[in-house]
Amino acid sequence: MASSTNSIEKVLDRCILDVQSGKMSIEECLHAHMDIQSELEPLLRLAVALQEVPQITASDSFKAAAPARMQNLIISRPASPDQNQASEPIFKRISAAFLGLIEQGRLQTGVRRLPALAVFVLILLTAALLSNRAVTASANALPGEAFYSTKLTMERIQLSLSQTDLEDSYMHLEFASRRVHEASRLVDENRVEHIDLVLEDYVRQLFETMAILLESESLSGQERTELALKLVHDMARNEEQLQDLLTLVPESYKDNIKELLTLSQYEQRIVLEVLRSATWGSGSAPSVVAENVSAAQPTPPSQRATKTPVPDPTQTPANMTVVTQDITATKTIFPISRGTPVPWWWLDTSFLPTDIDWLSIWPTVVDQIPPEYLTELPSDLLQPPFDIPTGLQTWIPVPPEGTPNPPFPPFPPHP
Amino acid sequence: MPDIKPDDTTLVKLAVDGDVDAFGDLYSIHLDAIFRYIYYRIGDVQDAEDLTEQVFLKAWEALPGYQQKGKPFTSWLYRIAHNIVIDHHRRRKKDVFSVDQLNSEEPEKDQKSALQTVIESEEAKVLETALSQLSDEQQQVIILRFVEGFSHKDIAQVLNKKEGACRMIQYRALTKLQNIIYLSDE
Repeated sequence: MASSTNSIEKVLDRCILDVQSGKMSIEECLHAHMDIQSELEPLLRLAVALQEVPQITASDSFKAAAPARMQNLIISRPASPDQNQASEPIFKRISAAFLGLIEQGRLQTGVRRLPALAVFVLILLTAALLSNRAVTASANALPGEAFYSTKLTMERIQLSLSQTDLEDSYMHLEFASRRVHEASRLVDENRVEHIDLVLEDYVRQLFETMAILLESESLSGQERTELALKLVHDMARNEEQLQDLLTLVPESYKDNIKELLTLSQYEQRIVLEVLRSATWGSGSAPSVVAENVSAAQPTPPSQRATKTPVPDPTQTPANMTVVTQDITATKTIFPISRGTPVPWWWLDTSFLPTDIDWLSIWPTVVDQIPPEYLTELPSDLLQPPFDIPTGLQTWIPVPPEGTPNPPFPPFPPHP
Repeated sequence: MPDIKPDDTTLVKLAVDGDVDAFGDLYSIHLDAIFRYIYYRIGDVQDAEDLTEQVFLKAWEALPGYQQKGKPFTSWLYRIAHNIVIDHHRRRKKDVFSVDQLNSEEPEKDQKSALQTVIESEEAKVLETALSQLSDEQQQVIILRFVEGFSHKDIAQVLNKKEGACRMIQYRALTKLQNIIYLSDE
């Protein structure tokens, strides 16, 4: 049946071209393909009729006024074009979901390893439910296609079968990159209506990785450093693809991608600062990182206080070493070029992107702050409603111009 | 033919350098084709004119990006038009209530009569109504292939698909269209 269909579509196309070029009449074409004439005839006649549909044009009044109007529009084009907000920003939905997961304890990593019997049963079930063919077919599936749910199921199974947080984190990174790739393909195939779905999952995978990076107790210092490097590298690479998508998607999809890019940049800065502080675990960082870290921090980590107090809002803390070389020292290994990174807890207005809805992402920002510091933050900054710009600037002073960045405070030691 | 004409390339180069007149020429050349493409996908002359203008405005803004990508200008223009049509449909979905309200009100009659004067033939309206029942891709293929006279090679560039896939979409679209018309005749 498939081959017959294939044959008909080719014959139909050939006939359309022949009739179009005057090489044959409809009747001659039909006569030449008697075996499929009954199926071919209505389609061919319809195709020919379609070509005779009147070539409607825009109204004369529109065309007469169009050039001048277009010229005016070009000249007076507002800097920020009208955006058609079609959906709630990804941030709002994801951060709410993410915080919900934390409350349920789902993001506490390293506590959901399956017993061997359960793994065995899971493998048997998987084999029974998903044939090899389905799994193979699902590898390239996109949202809206039959095998896409199989693809996601396989990813969840892979995660369930992993034995360590480290394996989990690398899988999440891999899945995040897959989502970005899927987003590109959706755009290529003009199926942008599914793009929000994959980008949401992209953010989710990033959050999962961040949670492991910042919270897992089973990672050694070396593993954590390498994971941080990989995370920053992958985010930067994905960011490039997302930037490309921005030029291709319809307006109503752009805001979500822009917010996603902002999140990605924000997360990268956190990871970079954490990397630079080099205070976690007992493992040593790779040499290239260690060089940059030591160059950026005159005071060795071992000589610093294990817990740095929240800075006095009125002055630069006296017990903090001033860093004379900022994080851009590491840009030879990290493809980061935008902005001047500063520690997240010393937010000043130059750090805050102007085009971001801080209210919507604040739960995510708060989530990145170690619990010890949360208790010292003004409570009205933790619970909505709150006035972010005012609150932040009251609590966190904008440093005088030219003040170098202080080092990132060490994360609280794990119990 | 929709293939890139030499003057298109020259005009695009000038427009990229900020030549508004060159862009104006491109606008005049492609205005009707883009209008038709949009009209057959949304079925309203006034909206189609507004969206056509938006397409060219977007094209003007994104011209430097176009040069970087090196894609044929016509394909690129249709892609922008396609995105704008999707935006339009999304917006319409959100405004279902208000549209229904509008439909129940008297001014709709005036709008209809104005519409009738603009559409040159009832056939165009019939085709638009039938097309609206096809999938997004099928609509694009039918319009580009039969209304605009694109080859499958040209369509493949606009849709980012292989020629064979476009041929298959064409076959399925014609089959579905034939069923729609057959049912409406009964």
